[in-house]
Amino acid sequence: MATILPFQRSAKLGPMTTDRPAAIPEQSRDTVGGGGGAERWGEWMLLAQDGDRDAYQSLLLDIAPYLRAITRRYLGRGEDAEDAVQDILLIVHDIRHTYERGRPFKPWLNTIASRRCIDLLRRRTRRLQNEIATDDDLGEQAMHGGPGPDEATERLQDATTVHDAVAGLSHRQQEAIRLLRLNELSLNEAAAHSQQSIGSLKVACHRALKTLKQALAQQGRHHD
Amino acid sequence: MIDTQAFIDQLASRAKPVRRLTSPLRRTLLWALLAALVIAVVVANHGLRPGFAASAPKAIEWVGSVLTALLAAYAVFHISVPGRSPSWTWLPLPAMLLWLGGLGWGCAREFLQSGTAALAFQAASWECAQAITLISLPLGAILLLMVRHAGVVRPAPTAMLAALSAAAMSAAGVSLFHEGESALMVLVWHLGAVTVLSLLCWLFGQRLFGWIGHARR
Repeated sequence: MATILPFQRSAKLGPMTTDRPAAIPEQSRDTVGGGGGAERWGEWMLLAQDGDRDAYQSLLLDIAPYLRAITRRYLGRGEDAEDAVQDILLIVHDIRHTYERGRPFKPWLNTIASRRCIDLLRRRTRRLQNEIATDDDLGEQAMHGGPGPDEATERLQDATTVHDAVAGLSHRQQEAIRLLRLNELSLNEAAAHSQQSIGSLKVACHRALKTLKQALAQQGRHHD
Repeated sequence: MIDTQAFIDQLASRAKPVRRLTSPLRRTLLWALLAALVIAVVVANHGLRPGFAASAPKAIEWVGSVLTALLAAYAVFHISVPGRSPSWTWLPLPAMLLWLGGLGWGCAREFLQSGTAALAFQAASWECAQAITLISLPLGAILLLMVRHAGVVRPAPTAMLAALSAAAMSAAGVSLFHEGESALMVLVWHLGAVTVLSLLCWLFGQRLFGWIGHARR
């Protein structure tokens, strides 16, 4: 894997990488750009486990290009690969306590990264299968004449109703619905991707669903 | 989706000190201690069966189930950590064979002593499968909570081995107070309960870790 995924340790990482934390040993800093990347990562992770934010930031910035290379290999270039990088960074954050002193860092990271990429590939396959199934349904509908004008009008009205109801939500509620329901992120992931805390996301999502239910029920009564 | 650099800054700002995992051996011993406490409470309620390991096959069967539980727990603490070899999954296999060997020997011995009567089906001994399942629940829950990070590593094999460990330990516990069943019924109900619980956890491992710990959809 090392030959396929060389360390892309370079100036690309921006000013953060040149601003090394004081807590990091001199010996480690000397290895920057050399072959001791994984050893340095292990040392930084140990410092991060003790709460050293600078070491942690350096580590995450340093592993990001490596993770990007892995995710691109599994998922191709594009937004999915970058989303996967962030997903993996979040997992690294969540389970950073599982890195053990004295053990190599790269196998630890590779297991997390490859496992996540495989999960995402499975999810992508499921999504594609669903889409194919939906296309088949549409094809079948077309063969049998599709929905009649009344049904089409009704669907259009429903879509407008939902659209109006969503537009009536506050920005925070819309964001909560988008992240938690449409993108199917976990609360932790959603909190990491937004400016809201887990608690406020929960409240926003709950209130949004309640408002939507009320709005749609009201609309239903109007139709009746 | 926010920019990765900003995302890293957010994560870094949340870098609080964390408690590192202790070694698999220490965690296995801790779990074994907790499991022994749970089983001791159950046995104290029912009373210890005298001579539970009087014959050689029964002693082998009991030692086999305890070893299976301990080795499976040790394997759980290995394979649940990223970067450790998945080959640890096979660790409890020799102990399982010993357990199975003890049960098989017991069946053969009873058949030679009592003939076909030893093969009679005893529906009442279904109770021991229920007891194994009930005792497995707290033991398995403790073990899964100790490795709740495994949802993003190897959820299915970890959950399966955790169930195997908990159920094997429960089977050893049930042998301490449950009596009056033939070796064949022990083979059917004990091993049956262990197999069913392990397979269920294998199938629903990902979902299980989604509830109790880290797992991504």
